[in-house]
Parts: sequence; structure tokens; C-alpha cells
Amino acid sequence: MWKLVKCAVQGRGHVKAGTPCQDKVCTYTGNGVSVIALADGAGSARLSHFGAQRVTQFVCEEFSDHFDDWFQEPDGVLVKKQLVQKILEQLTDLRQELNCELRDLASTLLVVAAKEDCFLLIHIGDGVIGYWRDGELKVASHPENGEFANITFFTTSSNAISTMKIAKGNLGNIAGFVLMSDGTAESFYSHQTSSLAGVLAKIMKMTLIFPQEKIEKDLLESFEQVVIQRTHDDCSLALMVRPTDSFTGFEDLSQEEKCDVLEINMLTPDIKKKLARYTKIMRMINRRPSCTLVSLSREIHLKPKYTRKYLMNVLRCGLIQSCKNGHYKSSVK
Amino acid sequence: MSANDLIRTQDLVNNPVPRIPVCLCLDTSASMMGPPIDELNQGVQLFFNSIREDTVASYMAEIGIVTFGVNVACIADFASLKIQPNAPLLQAAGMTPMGEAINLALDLLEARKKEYKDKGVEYYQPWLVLMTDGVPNGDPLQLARAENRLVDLVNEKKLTIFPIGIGSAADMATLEALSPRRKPLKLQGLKFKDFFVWLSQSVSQTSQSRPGDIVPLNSNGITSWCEI
Repeated sequence: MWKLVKCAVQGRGHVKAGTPCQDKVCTYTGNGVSVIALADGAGSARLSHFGAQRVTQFVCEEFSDHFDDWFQEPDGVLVKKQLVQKILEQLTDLRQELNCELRDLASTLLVVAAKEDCFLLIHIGDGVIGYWRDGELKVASHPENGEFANITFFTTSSNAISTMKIAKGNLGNIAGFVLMSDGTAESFYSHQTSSLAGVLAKIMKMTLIFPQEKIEKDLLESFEQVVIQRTHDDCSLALMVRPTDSFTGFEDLSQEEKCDVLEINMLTPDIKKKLARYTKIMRMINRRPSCTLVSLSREIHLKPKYTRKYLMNVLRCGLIQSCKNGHYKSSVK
Repeated sequence: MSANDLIRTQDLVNNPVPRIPVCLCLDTSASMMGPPIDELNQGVQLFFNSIREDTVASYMAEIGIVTFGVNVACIADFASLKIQPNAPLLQAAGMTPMGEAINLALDLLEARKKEYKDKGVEYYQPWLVLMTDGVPNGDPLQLARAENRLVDLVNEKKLTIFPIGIGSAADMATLEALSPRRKPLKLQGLKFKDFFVWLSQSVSQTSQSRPGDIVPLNSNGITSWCEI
């Protein structure tokens, strides 16, 4: 149901200083639960990348195994206390393994977990959690920096419980969640308007249309070429998205978005008619286990030799894949 | 869709760079006349030049200057070096109304922070550099108020203060009372330049820091030329 993607890139400052990427992301699906987690290791903590890795893996497993327990607990303070305690237990084990101080493993933490129609959200420190509902992007949790730009709160902070934000509820029309570190937020979160960049909705749509591997590869390239140029910090992002009535897939894209996806020019003659054929092809392929050239040709009322051109283009763009015996199926199923 | 089409530069938000407000609160009383004021002018100019040469710091540092002598005046309001590239010339004359000057500096810092907040600009903990060669002789009530405000701000970690005494007549006891966490430093001779080089390096270091980074603003780097 949910599609999960993630991406983390070492910042220019860390490349220059020879420090590893301290942003860690983890996605997990199991027991009917989908979880995305992101942790930004503290710059001042020498082993924070290990702490960030451990804490993201732990929360993914914890919420996957015990989602109902956490969700059903009505006392939010208890949830905070128990979660921080469990995180500190993990970090204490890691501290012994690495022979270091607990503060060396400090990181922020952002988590969203969803099961059936329920979701949970956890946030310690900076970074942003956003959601996508009815075609609109909104902020679920703003960065927690205190007053000054270079101050934030970490999993190991004495005030982790008091600064932690938690939320739970019914998903309703929510189609997606996105987590981003503060480095990524420099590109996607406006401090002036406290709002998110519209391109995140585009990334969510593309995640529903293309295979996870392609989106993660494209995200990585885009981050390396564009996003990390805006900051010295590491940049990371994790998102989860599902089809809803407001966006089911290719057929709900705008004409411009369809042209982008199909890599064709908007000014091509008869573009509307051509896009309508592409839409019919994609709709048919998405709704059936597989299709043949002949069946698709009948659907769009075009001779097979012309239909083949359309088919080859969606195949080239990665929207569909060919199977045995001349059958084609959606890339995202 | 190619990877280049997923996220384009024009799709990103344009956040203003975080700011580091630095207020220089400088004694320009008559006793600074001659070589001290000349050296101080050169030091402040060097500070401006050093910050300007650092691409990141030049956008982030906002320097304001308050002087106390004939009167208490803000001779440079907070602005980046892109807007205010050159240091104003300091002239020595008058008394040492230090309390009034500190209060003006703190008022200006508060006003600037409010502007940052209103415009959604992130900022770092402000710095106040206080330099004097004598004993404060303005309104004692103003000095007491300044002391209370400074002590509260420093203890609440809302301000970093660098108190610097110049020459043997500097009132180190008053400077110490104004700075609960950082001992005042006595400038060795008139080595203003060394101090401002260190200060600009500290601003550069802070401008490249990320949340959670600890920027050591201790006096180790300048003890070689200061008398503590």
C-alpha cells in the first residue's frame, strides 16, 4: 500500500572536514506497519553517525513490532518517557560497544509510522515533518531549535522528553508523509512562511508512478547536484506515500507533468490527443495484471504499428516493464 | 523523466542566511586620544576586512558599533558587510558613560532580534564586545541596570560578552561584574589587531557551524597577547 523511499547525502562541510555523513535514514515495512525514520547526528558528537543509525533502525523495528501498544496508550507523557528510555537503552548498549560517552551518539529523530488507518509521529530536535493531503502539502512538525540557529535538541539531551513532539491520529485523506533533516530543510522549508516547497508533492507523485529504485537513484542525483549546494550540512529525506482518491497515479498528473514524465515536448502537434492515448494505455496497464500490444491497440483505437510507438515510449521511461510472451505490466506493482 | 527533472534549482525555497549579530561597544573617551584610538581604528578596520574576505561570514555577520565618549551613539547599525562595507572612523573625546552605552547596545540587539523573528531569519547567539580604558563615570543607575541586564542575558545563554580592558587604568572590577561567565581580558599594550583577527576567526568558525556544533569561544587563542 505505502511506497517508501529514502536518500542521504554527505554535506560539503563534512566532505571538506573528512567527517562521515551523520544523517541516517531508515524505512521499514512489516506486520502491516510502514515506518520511515530519519536522524541527524550532532555535529559536535564524534560518533553521532553510529547513534543516528542505531536509533533509526531501532524505532523502525519498535513501531513495526508494537505499533498498537504505542498508538493505544492515551498518556502522551508516558509515551515520551518510555520511548526516550528505550532509545537511551539502545544507545547505552552502543556506547559500551564503541567505548564512548552517551553524548557522542547524540542525534535528532523524526519518525512516522502508519498501520491501516492510523499514524504515529515523533520528533526530537530540528528538521521538518510534512504531510500531503488532498493535493496540499502541510507541515506536521516544525524545527525545534530554541532561539538560536546553531542550537537544537537531541535524543541524549536532558530535555529530550520536554522538547519531543508526538502526534497520532487517523490518516483520513493523508496520502503521504515526508521527513527531512535541517540541511534538506534549507531547500524545501521556508523559514519565513513556515511552509514546504511544492516540489515535494511532485516527488510524492513520482514515487507513486515510478519504481522505488528509480526514484531513489534520481533523488540521490538531484540531491548531489542541487540540494547539497545550498548548505554545508548533510542532507537527507525519507518519505512514504500511498494512492488516494485525489491522486491515484499517472492519469491524475497535469498535462505538463505527463510531458515531463514521458519526456515529450508540450508543443508537439496534437499533444492533447497523444496524452489522452498515453493515459488510456497507463490506465489499462495499471488496472490489469498484464496487457498485450493488441489489447492496448483496441483500447486506444489505433493500429498496433502506431500503438507500439506509444508503448515503447512508456517502456523507455520506466513506467512499464515487458514480461514474457509479449505482455506488459506496470513498473510499480 | 530524467533525474535532472525531479528537483530543479528553481523548485527550491530561498531562505535568508542565518545572521550573527556582533555589537562593538567601544570607549572613545578623551583618554583614548592619540595612539590608542589610532590603533583601535586600525583594529576595527581589520575586523571588517577579515570578515569581508570570508565569503560565508560576510553574508552572515552583522556588525553594529556603539561608542561612548562625548555622547553615547550608535555609529553603525546592524548590517552585513555587503551593505556596510567600511568601518566608521572613531574619534576620542569626552567622558566614559559605559552604562548608557551598554544599555543602548542591548536595546539595539533586542530590536534587531525582533526584526529577524518578524522576517523569519534565523540567528545565532549575539556577541557583545566591550572595550574600555577607564572607569565608568556616567549615571550609576544606568550602569547598575546594564549590569543586571548583562548578567541575566549571559546566564540565560542569550548573549556572549567579551569584556576587554585597555591599559593600566581600565576598571577590571567593573568589567568582571558585567561578565558572570567570562573573565575580562586586559589588552597587552595596544594589540587591538590581534584581538580583532581572533574575533573575525571566531565569527568565521561560528558561521560554518551546524546545530549541535560547539564553537569554542574561549580565550586560549588570545591569551598570548592579553593579560588576565
